[in-house]
Amino acid sequence: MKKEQYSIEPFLDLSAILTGFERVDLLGTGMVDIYYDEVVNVVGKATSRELWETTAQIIERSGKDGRKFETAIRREILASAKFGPIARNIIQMWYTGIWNELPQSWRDLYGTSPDDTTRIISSEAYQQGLVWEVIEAHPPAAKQPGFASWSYRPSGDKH
Amino acid sequence: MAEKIYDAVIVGAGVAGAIVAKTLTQAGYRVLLLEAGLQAGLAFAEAKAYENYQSYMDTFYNALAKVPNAPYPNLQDAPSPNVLDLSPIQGTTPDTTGYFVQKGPLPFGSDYARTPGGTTLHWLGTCLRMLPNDFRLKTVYGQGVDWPISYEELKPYYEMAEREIGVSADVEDQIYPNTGKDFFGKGYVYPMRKIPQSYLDQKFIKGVRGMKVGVKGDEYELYVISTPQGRNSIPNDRYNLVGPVWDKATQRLVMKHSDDAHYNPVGAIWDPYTGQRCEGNANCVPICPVQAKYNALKTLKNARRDRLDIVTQAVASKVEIDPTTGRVTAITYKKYQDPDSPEYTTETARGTIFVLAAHSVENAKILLASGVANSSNQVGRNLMDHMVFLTWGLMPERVYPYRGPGSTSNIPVFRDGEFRERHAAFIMPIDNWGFGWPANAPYSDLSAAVNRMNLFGKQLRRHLNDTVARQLLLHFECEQLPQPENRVMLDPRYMDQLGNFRPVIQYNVSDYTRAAMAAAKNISDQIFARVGIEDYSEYNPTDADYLIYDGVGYTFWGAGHLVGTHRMGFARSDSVVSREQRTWDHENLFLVGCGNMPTIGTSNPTLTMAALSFWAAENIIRELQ
Repeated sequence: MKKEQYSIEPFLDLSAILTGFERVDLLGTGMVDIYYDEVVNVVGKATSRELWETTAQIIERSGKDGRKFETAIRREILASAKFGPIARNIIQMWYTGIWNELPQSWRDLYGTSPDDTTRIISSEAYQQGLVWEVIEAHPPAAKQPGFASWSYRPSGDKH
Repeated sequence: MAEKIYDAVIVGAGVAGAIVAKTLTQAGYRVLLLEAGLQAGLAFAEAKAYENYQSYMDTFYNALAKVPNAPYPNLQDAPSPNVLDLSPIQGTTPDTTGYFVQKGPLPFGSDYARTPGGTTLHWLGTCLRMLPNDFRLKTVYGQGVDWPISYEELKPYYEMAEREIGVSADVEDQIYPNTGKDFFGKGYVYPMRKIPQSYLDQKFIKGVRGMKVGVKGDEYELYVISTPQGRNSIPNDRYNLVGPVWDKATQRLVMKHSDDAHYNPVGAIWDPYTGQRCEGNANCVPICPVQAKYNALKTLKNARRDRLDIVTQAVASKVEIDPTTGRVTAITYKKYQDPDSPEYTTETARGTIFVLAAHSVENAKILLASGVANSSNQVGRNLMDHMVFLTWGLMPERVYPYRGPGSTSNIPVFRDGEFRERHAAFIMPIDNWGFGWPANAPYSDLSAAVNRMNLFGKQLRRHLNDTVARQLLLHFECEQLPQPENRVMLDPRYMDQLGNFRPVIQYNVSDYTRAAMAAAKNISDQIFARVGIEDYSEYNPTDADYLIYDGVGYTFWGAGHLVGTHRMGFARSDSVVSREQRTWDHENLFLVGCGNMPTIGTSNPTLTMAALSFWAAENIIRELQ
């Protein structure tokens, strides 16, 4: 077991509420460990642990479903000067496979890492981008749906 | 290598060079092909070919800006232009950021790939023939110049090109203005059935059915057709042509009718069973992962390899002339080992016939650097492209873009008509990839939703699905006329690290084409009003190619259709090559590629270039006999 494996749980819960995808969908991408490592590596162990702990406390208080959970995530994480930019990056990482350089104001306050650069995390990360599923398409050049598929309405009625 | 004397020396392993190489070797001639790009790109053994193509794929996946040249190596020793280098030109100072030295006043917005297979690696694959009036623009409309070849003459060569590329379309769908009944030969069918039109196309077609648009008091009824494409579909069992083969009796290349002929889609170069159909990767530009879309490597793979020698990492730098006879004696090239190192050896290629197929800009560069074939003073001049004017907006219902080939339908109504006396013709492709091109969607939508609208979770998903899935993009590809001052030049102050010239480009857009953009915007406004499309189009003075016409600002984008830099004509006084595609000045020097085209019409030029390459190959074989 990885040293910080226990922190994967709050990371996964946070990712699910932020992206609007179920935990099982996120696990299915195979990217959970990689994205967890990415966050810890860029923002540092202390800050990331604080974020996981805050998430765990929110869940303990409000459960994982419903308005109460959403409101707490918005107020205590997205609206936080420290956690907000990280959370917005986590959404965009899941959606596109891209890590975006954190805002300069954040870097000035909480530190900079040499890995805090805007880049595609890996080929796999690009191909697992969730934005394509959200718009009922697929990542260009990956997960191709087959001949003539584009001439039909997509079948998923997810929305 | 001992200096062999070849029947033909060809410079450039793109589509034009590949077609000439294949045709000549199959007719029994010995050919040397020089290619500036990397050796790895010409691997045909299955494992090596696959490995190299996967390296392109991996580079593509990891590129933040997925521009047309993103997957392919940019070589210091043979650089390629890149659209990322574009910005507005400030005053009279040339922009030297990229490979092109941009003198303006407008930057030239198109790129090409100096790599084996050439720009067909990232072409979209649209395969429309030019229209009969495109070949006689001067006679019919008093604009530009006429071609010394008519549509009727070129027709059999279009059939050769459509087989070579593997074009999918249904003849009965192909209705264009002013073409008459004989546009296709009697009983002609394309090798494969049409590529299915997208769900988005179908919704759009429903929206504009029966619609009439007004332009300057004239009324035009809109209609939408499926677009012929060089990507694999279902073979048409009525297709019965084989060839072309050299016919000694008539001294022509001919296609033969055979009831046993079956068209087999040509798959990937690493595996014939991969890419037998377009699989809907929605990524034709910059790279088709399965090679269901044609690229020139497929043609080269089918050349007779026992008669073809290929030297890669060989950048042609000079055409050598015998001053007494005017004949070309050799092509000097610089052979490099490491594409980032300035070290090279100078080598010579000798043959009977020489063919420059290096690309319209590179051909002009080699000719100008050598001081040859330019008694007309037309080399490098008349550079043309299609000005791509875009309009975009949200459809009233979800149409699910970002699926299928880049474009599967077009409106051909404005490809020809009397209006060409006043403004440029244009074709209107309907795009399948949302606001990707003009607005970097869906990334821009995501960023706005997360960072500005403060959306997350299910709300974010609903918002993106409701907006991005409604995105519609229309193209208006406007014709540009030949103008001598739009040109490729050389300047010894601007060289690459091998000591070859970088192209210096002077470029502008005339009112004839600007007026077409104004007409296009007017038509787009009428369509948007009719269908209920919410207009998101935006043109800003900070855009690289922003221009003003009649007090209104428009932005255009390059189409990658670089045409006209060594045009063919009726007379040596105002053209570089004759209708044979032979330079007027040097009887054993032929040019192929889009540079030979005197005008651009409204067709993406690759199909016509391919047809002309067969035409040129026929003339070369006749010469070699």
